[in-house]
Amino acid sequence: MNKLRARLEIITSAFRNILSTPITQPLATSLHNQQVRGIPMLDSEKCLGCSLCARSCPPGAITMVPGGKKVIAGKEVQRNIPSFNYYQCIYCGLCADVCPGKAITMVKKQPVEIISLSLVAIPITDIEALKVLFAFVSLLFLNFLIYWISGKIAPKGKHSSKAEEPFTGGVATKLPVYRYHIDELYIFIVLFTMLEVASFILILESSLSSTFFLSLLFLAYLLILTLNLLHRGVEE
Amino acid sequence: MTSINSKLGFRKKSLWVYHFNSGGCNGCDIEFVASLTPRFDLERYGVQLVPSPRHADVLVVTGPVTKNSEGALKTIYDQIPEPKIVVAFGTCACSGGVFNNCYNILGGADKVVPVDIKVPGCPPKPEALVELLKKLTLGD
Amino acid sequence: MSGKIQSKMFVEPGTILDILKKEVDNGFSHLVTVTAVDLKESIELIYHLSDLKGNIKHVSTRIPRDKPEIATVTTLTPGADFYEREITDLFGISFYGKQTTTGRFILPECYPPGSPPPLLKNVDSNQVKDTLGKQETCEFKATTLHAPLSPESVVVPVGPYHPAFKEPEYFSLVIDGERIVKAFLRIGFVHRGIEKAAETRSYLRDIFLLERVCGICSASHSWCFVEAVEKLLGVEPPSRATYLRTIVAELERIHSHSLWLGLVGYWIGFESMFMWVWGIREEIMNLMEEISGNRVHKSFVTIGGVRRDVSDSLLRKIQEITKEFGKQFENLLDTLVSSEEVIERTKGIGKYDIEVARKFCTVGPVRRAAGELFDVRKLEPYGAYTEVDFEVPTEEEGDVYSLIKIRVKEVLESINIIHQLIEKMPSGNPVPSRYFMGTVPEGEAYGRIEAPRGELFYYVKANNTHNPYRVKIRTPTLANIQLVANILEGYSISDFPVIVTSIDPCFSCMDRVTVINSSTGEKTVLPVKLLKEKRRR
Repeated sequence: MNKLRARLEIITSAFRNILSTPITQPLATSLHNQQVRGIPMLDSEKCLGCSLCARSCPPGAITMVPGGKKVIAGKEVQRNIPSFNYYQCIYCGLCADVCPGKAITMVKKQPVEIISLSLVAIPITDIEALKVLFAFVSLLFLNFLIYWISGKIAPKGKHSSKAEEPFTGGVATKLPVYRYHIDELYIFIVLFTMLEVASFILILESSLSSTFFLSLLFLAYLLILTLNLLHRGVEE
Repeated sequence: MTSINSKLGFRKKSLWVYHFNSGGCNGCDIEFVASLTPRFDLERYGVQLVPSPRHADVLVVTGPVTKNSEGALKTIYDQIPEPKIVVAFGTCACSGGVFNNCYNILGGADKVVPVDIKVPGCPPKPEALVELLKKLTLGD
Repeated sequence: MSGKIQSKMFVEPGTILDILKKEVDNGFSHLVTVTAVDLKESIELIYHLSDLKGNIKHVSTRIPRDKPEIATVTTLTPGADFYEREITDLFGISFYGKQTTTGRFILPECYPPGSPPPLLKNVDSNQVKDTLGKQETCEFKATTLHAPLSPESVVVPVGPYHPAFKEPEYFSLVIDGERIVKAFLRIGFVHRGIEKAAETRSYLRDIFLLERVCGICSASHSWCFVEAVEKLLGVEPPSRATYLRTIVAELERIHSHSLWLGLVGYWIGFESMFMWVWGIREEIMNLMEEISGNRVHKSFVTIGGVRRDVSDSLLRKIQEITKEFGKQFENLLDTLVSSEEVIERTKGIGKYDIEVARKFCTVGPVRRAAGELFDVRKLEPYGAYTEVDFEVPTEEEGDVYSLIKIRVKEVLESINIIHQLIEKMPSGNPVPSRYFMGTVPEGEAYGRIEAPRGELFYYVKANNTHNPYRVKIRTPTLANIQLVANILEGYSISDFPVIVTSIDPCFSCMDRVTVINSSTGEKTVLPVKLLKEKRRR
């Protein structure tokens, strides 16, 4: 009874979930909501140069650098202003809370926006495309190899009426290529090759012209299939 | 960004990620794993968490690098086949973070492996990963 | 609850075992931890004992610096083993009378045996860093550490670095066929040297350092530290601040238990449960972001109150969302936890009884699953727990299934507590007028609260300067993990992930399992996914 009830509950909750909206959020709508603590940004006009922020910063991400002159309490002094190392900052907001001049504000953005991603320059080579080309060619070669071997080891298609004749055996009536013809394997290999060609083209260069070329390729495949069917129909 | 695009080539359409915790507090790990759960769902973009470094394209390092994990991190980095990129996720992996004068900490992940992308934050929101992926795959 | 340590019992080092035996017989049977403090001429060891009614007693002894050895107490409480080994590593004190002697416990293997222990006052952080920097590599020799390879035993090292989750840990399992015969344990892969770094920063900066000890229960760590410091200062936070701290702590308990439930589902092979539970957990994370600005490291608690106030509309929103979460959670768990597959994979697995739990001084839900009501919120109430009415669930069996039931009930009780607190919320200003940046007068204090995983204990010693003299942390997982090595015996190797996850370790990590067949010498490596597959069948 318990088992039945559990199964029933799973099924009902599954149905309920299918019909309800998914929990998944659309891409990056909540990255900048108003509740994040944000990033510390300095307003250097209001800064007094007291370095309280640098002393209170838990990871020590603030260093004081020379920042020009400013008039403080009637005297012109050389003062230091804080510079933030955003890769060391833990975004706790302590500097904004302790600053006596309210010069640091927490801007409500997420850190990944404000810092351009630091990249290491990688030299680009053409070895990538060569490897892809080599893989494609070898797959093509493998296809034809399978086709040929299957032709060698499989029964040789339909016998013609001459098979009944003594001392002549079955002779192919049409082109010598049809000696290797097995319907199902032929279709599979042609389809596979078409797919390989299409996917490699899409990988190497995805653009409008290649999609057009791909659709042409599929039409050609359909044409071959139809010809094959017609040929079989004609034969029978 | 363009140099990373060409390095990864077509693989950027479905990145396989290997995650390594080199001694952190678990905050960034939980946020990283939470990005695979239904609310943020990184898996709809083809990103998959793999158990073996040999299957991976991207190495995500979280946590400051401790002395114990230095050797293991280098070994795992060598085992990932080319082309690969390394993401330092979280402030501790970028530069050591709050722990940068503790005696068992070497620093950020760039002391041991070359880092391509740094994502600061303590911890960065899972949406930051989604945003990062968007920039990687769709271009800047 | 926490308190200033008014009086300690001073004893001579030689008599420590008899005194402790007398205290244990008096009822103080739970050894919370053993703290070591470096006073310049001697090293002081403090044994903190607690009874089951909420009283705590501190027994202190001093050991001369030039002859650092003392008798072990593991004959009385086997659970003191890990605490003593940690002190050996970090302070250099040797405990004679122990049965097992092994190498490093918490420091990395490559730290040379003759080097000075890091936590002594005359040893500088940079000195330790240099010594470690000079070492070639800290590669970990997996198989031969605890259980030497011999023709009779097959050893499975479940090594430190795991592909998917959480922190590294190392188990060495001696197996016979599929049964685990004995399990050894090595921790310390995430040892960062926080206790030493806490002595060089001021109290305010220390809050941010200490909340990053753990990413899942970070509010508990900062609250415990701040409780101890407030007792030293003699400052009483406003009651609205206490209520707000309690609400945030209970929200954290909900999020931590849902996280654990998802992980247990994952490790028994039920990936849908993992996805569902983590999907609805995001509501709680949203709430925490609205209250404090960050989803994980909230840094909400400060000395003298909290950092931000919570408006009334936000309080109403918390009430609605937690009620909705409670309903969804109950529906979900009703379906999932009563399904036959989950019951079959968790009932009877990892069974232990109350005697074993008491012997190893376990805390938290692990102890409650065996039948004993041990919850600091009821024993020594702190925060706003005296004002609310709640019950603490216990079970009898002591297996993984009862742990699941307890944690589910605790989540529902937490929601109940939050609703009661919001209704009774007093008015006032919970934010202190300025941050505390002064000196703390001399004294010692301890803080003890119930984190989601168990009892968390902090010991803070101040000496009238801006920085603390000594901060000692004892996390609940250190107490519980000694139990795991014990209860793994007799179970099959495919139950291993579930049993380790069931105590909710704050480092649970399993690598690929290497099975070495010692007679033929061949190795096969199974990824963890294969171990999960075995459970599915």
